[in-house]
Amino acid sequence: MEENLTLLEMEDSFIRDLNELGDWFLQYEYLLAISGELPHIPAEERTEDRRVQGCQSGVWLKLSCREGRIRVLADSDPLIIRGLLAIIVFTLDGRAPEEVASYEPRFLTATGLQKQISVDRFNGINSVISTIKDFAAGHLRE
Amino acid sequence: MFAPEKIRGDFPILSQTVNGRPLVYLDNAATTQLPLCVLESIREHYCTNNANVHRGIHALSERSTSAFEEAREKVKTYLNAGGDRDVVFTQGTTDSINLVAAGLRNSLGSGDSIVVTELEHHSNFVPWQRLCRDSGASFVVVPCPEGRLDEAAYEAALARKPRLVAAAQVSNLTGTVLPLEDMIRKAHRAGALFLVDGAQGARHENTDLAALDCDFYCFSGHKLMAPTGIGVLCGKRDALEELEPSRFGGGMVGTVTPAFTDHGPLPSRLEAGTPNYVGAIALGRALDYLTELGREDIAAWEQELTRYAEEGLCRVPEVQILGRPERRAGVISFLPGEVHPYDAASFLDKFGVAMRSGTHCAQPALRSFGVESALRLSVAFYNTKAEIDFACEALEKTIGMVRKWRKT
Repeated sequence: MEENLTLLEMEDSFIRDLNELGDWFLQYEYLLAISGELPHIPAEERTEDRRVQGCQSGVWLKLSCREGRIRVLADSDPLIIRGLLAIIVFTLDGRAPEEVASYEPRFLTATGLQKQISVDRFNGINSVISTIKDFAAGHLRE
Repeated sequence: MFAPEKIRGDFPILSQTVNGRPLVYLDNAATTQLPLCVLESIREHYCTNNANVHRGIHALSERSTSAFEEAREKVKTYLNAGGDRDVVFTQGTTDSINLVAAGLRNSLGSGDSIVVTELEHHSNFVPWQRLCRDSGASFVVVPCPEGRLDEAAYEAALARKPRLVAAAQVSNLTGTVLPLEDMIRKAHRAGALFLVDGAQGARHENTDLAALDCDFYCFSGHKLMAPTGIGVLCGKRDALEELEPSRFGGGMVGTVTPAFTDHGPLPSRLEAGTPNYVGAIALGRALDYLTELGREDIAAWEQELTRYAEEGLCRVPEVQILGRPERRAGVISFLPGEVHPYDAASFLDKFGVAMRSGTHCAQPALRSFGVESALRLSVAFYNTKAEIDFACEALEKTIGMVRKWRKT
């Protein structure tokens, strides 16, 4: 991944890629490809308390705050979901709590992906993002 | 000769494109589509006869009531229910099963047991589990390795003299046709009531309750070309009499005073409130439609399609079909190789192929195969062999495309 992009620039780069691809097949293939870049959460760390509510197929989130940075790891079995999680992780991992807490996702609505994925899945992804945002909000500097 | 291409003309929804491709609808185990005549029966009722049933003596109410009661008779005829059985209209199979479970609550104790099979849909599993938890009775699940009933375990469960056995006519996961006649005979010998979940079986199988002899039979309209929100509980009258009403309100009472209310007769005793009479009337029309098409022809064509689909899926590299039942009706679940069923269903959707992925509301059954989710292909009589061919090709392409991205 490219280094040193701001949160907005990073998300913009995903949006640009997806919009250039245009059709569903290439967009899905892109998601499958980036799913391979996302590290896995080992099975023994996929605990119930890390499971995100409202995700049909099971999404696990491993969140921490180290040296003033929010660290995000996410995992799921279906590759299309992993592709979507990869965008979220690459956009939010290593950012300051303030940035993450105020993040308003655009990559689903600005790319047509929202129409490609099911309503349940869309809600599931939003639930992943709110969980990360809530975690970041709990680590805002006083 | 059964002609699905011609029959498809009755179902306007099937002639659309999805994602630029002709829709191939193979999720019939979840819900079936409605023919024009059923849709028309709903419109006609609202346009000409609509009034509440059993509530007035004016002309519309009389017409509405007689159409509703006619629908009840049609259900009885369809199931060959005979004179000693009654039909209670419900919201669907789940509702029917809950009605029976709630109706037995006060007569069940810690010495009792309820038996289900491992193949059951959650709707024929959770209500009984809950009933047992609330009443202290034992909940016994009979294993079904490879989608076949473990006969010895079933007989061992019956040796405990259960109060009731609940089993599917056809599994919504493996398509297994359970050996109901034998199971029911044995359950009765052990003194148990028997409830059949006919949600998947009511269309694929030629159901004859007089021969089957179960105490309760349930099905949903929306899996039989009727709308959602209407279902049936058909029971032997003396078995229905044993059920305590769990819903109270208009229509189900005799005399109501501040001190005392007595219950009316069956079936209205179990139908509190205004029933879904338009749904019932539409269901009656759907049963007429199936009868006009020829129920044996429908069953034979669905059997042929199921066999054809199983052969087709077997030819797709890496596909692993779940279960080896002696007989399968309408439903095949499978694993698309190393590809996650969710990913496969997403790609198939883009090819216009509607197939279900997930747990199919049958987690215990699915887990018995050591998996958490599967794809399911389920046919109806309006499907063609060409559609099955297209679905298998799309599946093969999907597996090829997705597989190369999977990193272990």
